[in-house]
Amino acid sequence: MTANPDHPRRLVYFGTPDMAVPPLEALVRAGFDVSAVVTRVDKRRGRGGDLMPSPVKRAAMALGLPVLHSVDDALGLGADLGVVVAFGQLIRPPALAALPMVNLHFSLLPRWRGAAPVERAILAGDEATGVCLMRLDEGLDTGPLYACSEVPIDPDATAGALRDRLVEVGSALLVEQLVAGLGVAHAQQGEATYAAKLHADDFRLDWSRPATERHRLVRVGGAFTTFRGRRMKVLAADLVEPAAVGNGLVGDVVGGLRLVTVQPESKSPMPFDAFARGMRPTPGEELGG
Amino acid sequence: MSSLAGMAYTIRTFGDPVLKSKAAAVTDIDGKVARLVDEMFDTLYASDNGIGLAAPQIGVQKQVFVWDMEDEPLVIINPEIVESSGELVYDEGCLSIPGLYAEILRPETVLLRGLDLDGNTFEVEADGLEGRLFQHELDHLHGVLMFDRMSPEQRKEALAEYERIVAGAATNAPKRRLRLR
Repeated sequence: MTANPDHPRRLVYFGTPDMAVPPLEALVRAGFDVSAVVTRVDKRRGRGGDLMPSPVKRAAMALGLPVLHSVDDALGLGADLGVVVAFGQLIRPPALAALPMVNLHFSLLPRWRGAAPVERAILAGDEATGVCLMRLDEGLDTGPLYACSEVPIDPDATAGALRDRLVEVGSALLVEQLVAGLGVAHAQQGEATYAAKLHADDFRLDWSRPATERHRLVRVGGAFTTFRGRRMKVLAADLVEPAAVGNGLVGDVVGGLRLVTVQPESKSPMPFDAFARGMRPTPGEELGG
Repeated sequence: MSSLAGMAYTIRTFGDPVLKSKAAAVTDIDGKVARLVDEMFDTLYASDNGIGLAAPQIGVQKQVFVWDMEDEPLVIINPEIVESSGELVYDEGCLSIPGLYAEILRPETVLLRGLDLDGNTFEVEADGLEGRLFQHELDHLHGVLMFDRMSPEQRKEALAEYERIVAGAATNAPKRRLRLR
């Protein structure tokens, strides 16, 4: 038997956060020879300023894989292919010239190129998104695609749940494509959109917008408003009246959203009825003020 | 691992009747078998991208195959698959059908049993590429080739593709991968 020279067997893995752990584990389970795992350097975290390894570093150590912190160190290992999943650092053209790389991106490219594809797909009200395996090139998520899998967006799904599902589907897609040998990659087709990173102020609930839109922001996670001049996070809410606007509280409903879990500043998350018992909002009292 | 006397043999290619006949079990593991194994490794290492070779591929009708995936030469005599499970589509190539790669569906994990060069029985379980290699080489000992593992449509396409490869060995036609389905 011959091994297809276009068929990668020895890999270097580039990844950092939690969502980059399952694809690494899936590749190891599928029998790929992972020569090294490249991830960001440990960060100082917590009270004692202890060094915290990235989730991918912890997973790599548990799997007994060598860990590196520099892209350049991974180029001379004789690997066939680099696999990049949420690495969080730019990979420069000289590295790409030394080692061909593929990237798992969590949208149906060319829609939502960039840093926050899952959040942007939810905020835009997309009914489906997906995950694509592409060849990494010099641009921002512009490489040709080997394959994509579509994932529907449940109207109530949080970004966390959607991300978990995308990672699961993406891990399977990655293993399937590498096991079968990478075929021909096709140029991305259709209209490109960009998924800019969200900034702190993007998470403020705008009560003049329809409830549907605010509900999407709550699902992304981190949405906040103010109550009696203090910040309050809205951690979970149900959509009651999609088109409603307004910021007056009627029972547990405000502007078409039923508040389920909130977190007032310097307090723990609590169900809305516990909040209402403690703060006793007057009927019609306004949020956002 | 190499021998002083070893030399690379010509690999028999598709169309050679030896590839369609069944190999005989080895009854006596003697110096002749050890020499055969040396010659098989020399042939394997002289090949392009070869990772496994069965004795019929150098014209010897004996149930022996060798493989080397990670700089470790391995050999099995009178092999049989005692267990298999799962399913896997894998891009398979053959030294006797040079240049052709085709996706073939087979069990994912197999447990292989056979004899080593000392005549001791051993078992080895593998999945992924190695599991695929075991099934591919075992097929050679039974006179079975990749084409026989394809659906009629895929076989037709693969035979045409192989003809193009043989005819155009000198030309630089773009390489295609034959998808399952």
